[in-house]
Amino acid sequence: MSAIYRRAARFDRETLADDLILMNPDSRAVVVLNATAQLVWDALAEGASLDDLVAVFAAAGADAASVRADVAATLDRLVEAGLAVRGP
Amino acid sequence: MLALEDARYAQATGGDAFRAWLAAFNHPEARPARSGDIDGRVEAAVALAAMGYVAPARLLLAENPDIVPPALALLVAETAEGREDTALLAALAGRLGGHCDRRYAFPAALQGAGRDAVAAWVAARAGVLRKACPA
Repeated sequence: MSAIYRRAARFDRETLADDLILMNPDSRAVVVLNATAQLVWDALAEGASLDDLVAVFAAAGADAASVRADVAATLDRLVEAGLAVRGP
Repeated sequence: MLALEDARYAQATGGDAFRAWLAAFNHPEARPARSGDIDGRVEAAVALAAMGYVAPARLLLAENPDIVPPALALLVAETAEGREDTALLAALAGRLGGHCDRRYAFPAALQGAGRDAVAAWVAARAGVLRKACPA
């Protein structure tokens, strides 16, 4: 079964132009998401697997194979920064 | 402006400087009230660029390419990360040798500096930034 990613319980957010800036209030880690990557963050509000997220981008016309690595990298950045959690 | 003071204090005391500079940049009073007014976001944009977040500096440059500090900060940050913006470097050298907005201070050594001198200054500062913030 694919892991489900969700937003962490604690995070702060700011916007600047098209960027969404997410900050971990405990570690002060920062992740800046562009407009495309913000779709990933939006989906994590309800929880989503990597496959779910790739499907969202594929439905919008992106090539699933090429987008998979980008989505996985974004998820890794969010988890590493403590802004998202990976669970069953 | 209190947000700017908060950011300077956070920077000086090891507080959450990124968040504080971001708040200073986004503060409604930081933006010029009228065209031609001093832009209170410049200091924050330079500080954020030094932390690796260059979007604010880019935004200011897009609005007013004659302001030198964000251009310098952007070049230093990009050079520290191994990127090269030859177009911005040439544009900045052109402004330092001609018209730029002198209400925003920049190093006296760069007054009238040519492209090579600006590039050397940027490379030196990028080296300092790399040592301060290793990847």
